[in-house]
Amino acid sequence: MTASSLSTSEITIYRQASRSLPRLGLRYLRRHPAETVALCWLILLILVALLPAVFAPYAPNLQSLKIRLAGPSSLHLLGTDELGRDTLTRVIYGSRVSATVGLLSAGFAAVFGIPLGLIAGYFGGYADAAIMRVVDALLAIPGLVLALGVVTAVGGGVWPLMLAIGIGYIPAFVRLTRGSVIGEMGKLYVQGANATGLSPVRIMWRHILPNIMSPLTVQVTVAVGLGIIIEASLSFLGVGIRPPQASWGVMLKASYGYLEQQPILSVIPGMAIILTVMSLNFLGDGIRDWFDPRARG
Amino acid sequence: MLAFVIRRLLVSVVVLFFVTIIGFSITHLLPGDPVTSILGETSSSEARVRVRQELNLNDPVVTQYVKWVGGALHLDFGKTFRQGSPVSTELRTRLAPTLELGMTSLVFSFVFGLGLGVMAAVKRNGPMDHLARFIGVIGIATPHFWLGLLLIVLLAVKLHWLPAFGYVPFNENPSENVKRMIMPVLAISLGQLAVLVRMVRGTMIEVLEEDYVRTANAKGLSRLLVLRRHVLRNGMIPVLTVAGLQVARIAGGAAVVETVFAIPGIGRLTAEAVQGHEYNVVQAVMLMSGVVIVLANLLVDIAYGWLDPRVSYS
Amino acid sequence: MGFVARRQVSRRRFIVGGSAFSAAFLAACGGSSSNNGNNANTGNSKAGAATVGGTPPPVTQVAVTSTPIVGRALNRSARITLTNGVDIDSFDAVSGTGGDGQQFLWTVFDNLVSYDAGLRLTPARSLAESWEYTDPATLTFKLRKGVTFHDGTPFNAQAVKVNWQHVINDGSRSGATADLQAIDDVQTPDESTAVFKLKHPDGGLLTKLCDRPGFQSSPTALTKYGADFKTGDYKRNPVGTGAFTFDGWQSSNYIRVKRNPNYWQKDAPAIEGVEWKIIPDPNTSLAAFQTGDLNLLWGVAPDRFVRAKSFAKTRFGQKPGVSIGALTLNTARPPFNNAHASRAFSYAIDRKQIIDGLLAGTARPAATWVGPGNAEFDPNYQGLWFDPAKVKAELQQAGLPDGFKFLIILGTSPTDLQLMQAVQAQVAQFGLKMDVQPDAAYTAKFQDDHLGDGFYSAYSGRAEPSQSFNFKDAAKGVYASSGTKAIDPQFESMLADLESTVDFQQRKTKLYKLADFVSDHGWDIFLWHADTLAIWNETVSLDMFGDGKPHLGQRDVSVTA
Repeated sequence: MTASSLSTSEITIYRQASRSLPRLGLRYLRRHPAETVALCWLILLILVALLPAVFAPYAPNLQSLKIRLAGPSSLHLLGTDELGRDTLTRVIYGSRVSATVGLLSAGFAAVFGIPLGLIAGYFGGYADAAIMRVVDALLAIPGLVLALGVVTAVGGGVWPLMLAIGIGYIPAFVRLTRGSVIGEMGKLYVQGANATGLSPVRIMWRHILPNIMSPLTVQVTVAVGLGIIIEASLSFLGVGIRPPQASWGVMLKASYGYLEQQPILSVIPGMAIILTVMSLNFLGDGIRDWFDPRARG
Repeated sequence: MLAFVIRRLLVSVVVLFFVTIIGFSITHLLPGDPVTSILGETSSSEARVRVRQELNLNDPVVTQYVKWVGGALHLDFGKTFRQGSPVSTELRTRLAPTLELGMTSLVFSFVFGLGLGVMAAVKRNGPMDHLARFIGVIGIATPHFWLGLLLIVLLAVKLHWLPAFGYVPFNENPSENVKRMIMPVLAISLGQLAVLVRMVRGTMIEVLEEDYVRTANAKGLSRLLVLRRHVLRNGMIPVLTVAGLQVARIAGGAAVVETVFAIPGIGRLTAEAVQGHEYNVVQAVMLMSGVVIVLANLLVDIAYGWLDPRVSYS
Repeated sequence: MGFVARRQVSRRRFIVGGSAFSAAFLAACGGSSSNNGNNANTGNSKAGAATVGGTPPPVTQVAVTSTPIVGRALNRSARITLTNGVDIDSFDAVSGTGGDGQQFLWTVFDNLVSYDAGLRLTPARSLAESWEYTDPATLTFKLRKGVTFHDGTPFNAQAVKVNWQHVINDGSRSGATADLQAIDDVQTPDESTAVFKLKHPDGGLLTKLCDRPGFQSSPTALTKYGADFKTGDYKRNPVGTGAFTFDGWQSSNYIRVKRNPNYWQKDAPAIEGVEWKIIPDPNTSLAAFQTGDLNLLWGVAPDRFVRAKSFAKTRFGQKPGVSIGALTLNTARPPFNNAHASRAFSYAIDRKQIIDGLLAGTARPAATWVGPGNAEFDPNYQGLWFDPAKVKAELQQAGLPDGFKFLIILGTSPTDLQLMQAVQAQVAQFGLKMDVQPDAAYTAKFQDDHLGDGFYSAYSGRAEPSQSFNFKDAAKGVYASSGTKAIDPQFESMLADLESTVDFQQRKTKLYKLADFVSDHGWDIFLWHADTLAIWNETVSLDMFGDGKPHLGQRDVSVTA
């Protein structure tokens, strides 16, 4: 469905580039409050994740068993967790881990998925068949099960999680890229490039890729959100980030047993995940709108 | 049509071959071996050596793979290590809860996803549209297990409306079965529902603006008729694409949701098997879910042609 | 040498009632490390009574009924519903390994010898009416008459012999084989007399028969289904003499037993049946208790125990037992092949702070494998407990003045994870960089892959403490044979000496000599003995046993209307 809208995106880019981009951006945001809020939240998140020490009131692993499970107070704005650590501090440091896992896994999937999709779509034939059968096989294994298997095999931590979650998301990128490439193949600019004898790599990379960036970007935002959710699910099943490091998923799992006693402990990381994934989706919608106003979804 | 199905089935075999390779690689990448699961902690080192031999664990990986495939073709997936019962029996007893959970979730998310999506698209910015957009974002963003626990605390512990956990076969006690399925189905469906609502709404809006719909409207055909004849049919196509993927998503979600609600299904079996060195179970489950998902995708492809005569089966 | 009476352990708190308790937790479900036959103890005192050719040892007769609420009629059609986190691996005592198996076994089976709630050997609860050492190498059992297995097979001396053979032949999995290695032969002079001929005296033998090695299966059923764990089906078709008969099982769903109408104890059992629901998530279990789906919740974590305070119509049980929260170290490689490094680690842990902070005070610091429920327990024995000065001294001696780095693995229990994070933070102050990694298959990975420099688990302990030293530290134990434990000949000879000692006081002295040895060498790090915590519906009456496990067989539990 995205492929059909691509021809217009090309035109849109040229049209918009001719006007003042910042002014257009501002006008767009004024008309789309949800996207604006989402963007602000994500910017805040990035700042906090980059500089946790600046925002966090305490050291991330500072325990005080005497004040565990305390409610909000002037000393601990969001209360303390099951080991008496400051919840605000933990959620700030947790943002760093969760965001890293989300970004890295999406990046991993894109880095492998997009080139494979380009090759499959551009060359077709046996290359296409071979790539797509492996992709189909990957799709036939539930992503969470695949991730669980990989993390159990490789061990916990940010990098294994990137691998585990990223692998499961490669097929989505391959399929989307391939579909978009096939949509572009018949177009004049590709035929022209082929006729001038440019190398396939150059055509794929310099000509086709820029024209299919819009759906891919949307896909990345979705993948980042999904990565955060899968990390949380893996934490629930007991694998993933190593303690005492915090991620939102780890916090959600640890506070799970205290939902009735100290609900805020569970609500804070839960809301952080929900807000972030929602914002990423709004951002995706915004990007789609921006490039292709017709495809409002 | 028949030729198409046959060719697709042949391709499916290739896909399943890759599935077994992936499944086999993952289990054999898992550090450690299942010997402790089989013999218990107190086993002697001689017994360990013996069991390793019995399990062919000392063979080259390729030989092990061939032996496994040979067994799998006869539906012999070996035995579970911890309890020593045949994997095929284990799968059979675990199938019913997961099938019920999966099918109900699929139907639930489709019925509500389609209904809500269409209503939202027809009356944009109306209350249904707002609800659809809300579900569309919140559903994707909420982790299954957290939603599950919130439901347990609210509906079981606080309000005493529903039992908190477990599974009772439908033929044993229909009302208990339904009561115990409500929360798991909600927990697992919300995410799928969200994806579908977004998809349906987006597609419907697009279709509603197509020329042929405008024409039909202009001709004075009734709104319902237009919706049924032109809009729904065309809108279903992208929805179908998602449907194939949903099956895999639900299978993954089942691992978490069945653990939360203590449902004795395949998902929980898989999650426990992956972590507990149960090679035979993991490989069998991967192959089985592979078969189901591949078949689901085949059905989707056939449905394409039925919905859209322009699609040819070549 | 006279009979050494089993002292009442006065420290034993046993609180049943709506209010009092602080929360605690731990073991109960000793995790996968609690494998092996967990033998109840106190028996050694009985063994100590063995006088050559003398009179049978005096036997404590104890009321074994639970105490229903006065003035309310029993509801004999009621069921006990409780939960276990995972499936029980085998319904055959001999081939099972989990520390969670006995709660099932005690309903369907009876033991040749049984103990009561205070871990005293009690003939009234046993299939043997009496026993005596006719000489140090001959143990003679008089068997109860007129008892039949659920399939109608009579229980007699021949059955005892068949069960011994079952342990010897098919028991490599549970470690029960090793428990009975002292037995040379079982003779059957008549229907109701079984004579154990021993290779050498075994001070712990009677206690061991209270657990996995002593369960009596129907010989007919063993043959009919096949007793071998890998090939036979007996593990799924248990037939005993117990108060309940097996009533079906569905993996990851439930296990059911129902009343045995022909039970040899009159008017027992007092309930219709027992059902275990397999619920992996402890939060779901608690919710299921709150909604009334479960009427007994065993091994409750301290935080949840505290929270349950607000529940209506609920009774609370807390009892010290034999469990030990401990770190089992890999002493075959650096850093913990260096005794000083390991001792520094132990001195760096402030157990009291963690017990008060995370376990709601329901535990006491541990010094060795002997727990407060054991007869041999010495409350004044000091372990390598928190001492900052000694940490620094030991680190100097270890040649690691700036500390060192190591990895501790553990299961996925949220409480265990909290405990290890607290330890992690404490030892970090001394430069000990402890990594923590939860893993569902941690014991297997520790042994098979040598993952981690140690693992934490709430070890369920043994009623016969010498077994723990055997299991954890000996050359024939699990860890030495998997290459994660140093082997020391001096320790081996001390242990062999202890095992063949029969006198209680001598055993106790030798036990603590072993404890000294393990501490000196820094083989294991002992953290805490946690009380067993349980909650149940007010209509349910039951006794909590000193072994920390639920006893639901015989007439151990009743329900009022």
